[in-house]
This record gives sequence, structure tokens and C-alpha cells, in this order.
Amino acid sequence: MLVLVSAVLYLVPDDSVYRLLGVEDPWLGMLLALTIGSITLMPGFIAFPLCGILHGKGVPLMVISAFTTTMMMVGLVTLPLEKTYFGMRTALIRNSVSLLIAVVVALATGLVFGELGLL
Amino acid sequence: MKGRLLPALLVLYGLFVGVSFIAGFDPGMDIARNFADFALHMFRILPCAFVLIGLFEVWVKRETVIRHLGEGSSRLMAYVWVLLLAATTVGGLYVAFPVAWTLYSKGARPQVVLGYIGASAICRIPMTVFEASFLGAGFSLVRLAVSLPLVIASSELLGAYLSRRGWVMSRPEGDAPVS
Repeated sequence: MLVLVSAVLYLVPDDSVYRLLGVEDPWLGMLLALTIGSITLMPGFIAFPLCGILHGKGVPLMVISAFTTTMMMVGLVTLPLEKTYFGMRTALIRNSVSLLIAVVVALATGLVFGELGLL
Repeated sequence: MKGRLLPALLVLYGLFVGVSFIAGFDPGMDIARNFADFALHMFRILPCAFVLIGLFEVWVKRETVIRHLGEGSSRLMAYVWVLLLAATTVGGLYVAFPVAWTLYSKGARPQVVLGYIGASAICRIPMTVFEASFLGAGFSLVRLAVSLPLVIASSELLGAYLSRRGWVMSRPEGDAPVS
């Protein structure tokens, strides 16, 4: 698992997360946030400062919450580990449900902070 | 096939990193540094986490877990207990799975086990405080207020479905937390 994480962290480095989530189109940003968040596993001490910078640069909070929530709840990198405890089928169901929850959370964030108009 | 693939990949990885350092190949060295950072982070957390898990296994009686988290326990209180347990969990999913296994093996319902996994992903206190300091307390509050009920509801549904299908959680081979 460590090997996987080190490779993924390299393939998805901070500045590309930065570039990708900062795209003009919020729809695209949202989609990218969900995708990157689902794949990566970033320690909080790296992820949240990065999100703080992104927010400062004007990235909508709903895109950020899509990113952080999938990062916390959906784990493609930890899937091999999860599979040994839950079995593949259950692990896949749990991750898919978590992805849906992340979408709802992101939309709710957009609603509360008045960003839905951007979509 | 599978038994040989993993060691082969690990050897390849080691060679790749080693050669990268000798040849000064940047991507390879960056990957190795990520590996070291993350490994260090985990080695700081994991020993403590596993001592605590071990103590939990020895000290907490099966009857206690069944009474509070098992079949026939109060659903509401069971979730309150796992929320508290999850909120104080450190580390990530790699710590949460062994804890979940311990709960399960001591008789907690599948719903509660899934609830614990979900909750430990989203409401660990140190992480949330950190998040709030960078993105604002409002952001964290909205995130928790929306995700927690959804996590509990989905755990109930998925857990009930799994129970009907006769799902059993398995102890990983050799009980190794990471491989």
C-alpha cells in the first residue's frame, strides 16, 4: 500500500491538483475534484493547506468539499486493503455510496455558500 | 500467479527507486521521498494505534460490545458510541479497518461496523479542527451536518442488506495492517 501511495502522490502532485481544481468551469472543476479525491489518499496536513490556498484563489467551496469529502471517504488506493476486510463486492458498494454522499455534500455546500448559481 | 506477482512488483519498485538515485532520475527520487514521508507518518501513528487496538481487544469484553453495539442494542446509542470512537480515531482508513474488524469480531452489527468506518473517515476531531482552521468552521459544519446523517442512513441500509445476504467480515491473512 505504501508503494501505491508513493506512486500516486507523485502522479498527482500538489501543483497539478492546484491546476485542475482551479479550472474556470465549476462543472468541470467539480468532476475533476470528485475524480482526484476518489483516487488519492493525501494526509490531511498536505490536503487542507492546499485547499486553503485554492479557496484563497477563488475556487468555489463546493469544488473543495467535493475534493476533500471523496478524499476522506472514497479510496481507490486503499481498495486492496479494504477488500481483505470487507470483500471486493462490499468494498465497491461502500465506495460508490460514499461517492454519492460526497456529491450531495458538495451540492449542499454550494447551496449554503450561495455558489449554486455558478453551475 | 498472484502470490508471485506482488513480490516481483516490489522488487521492480525497489530496483526502479535504487537506479533512480544512482542515475539522478528525478521522478524516481520523488516517488521514494513520498514513500519515506508517508512511511514515517504511518510509523509514528501505527504503533500507538495498534497498542490501543490490542488493549481494546483484551480489556473490552465481548458481552459489552454485544450489549452496546450488537443485535438488540439501542440503534441510536450504538451510533452515538461509534461516533465517539470514530471522532477520537487517529490516522486514516488504515487504522479504521483493524478497529472495525475488532468491533465486528466482538459481535457488533454490520450496520454499526460500516457506520464506524464512514464516521472515522469524516469526523475525526484533529482532522476537522485542522480543516476548519484552513477553510472556516462553517465549511466543516455544513460538511458534517450533511454527511453524518447520510453515512448513518447508508450504513443502516447497506448493513441490513449485507446481513440478509449472510455477509461475514474476514480477518486479513496474517492480520497484517499494511502490505
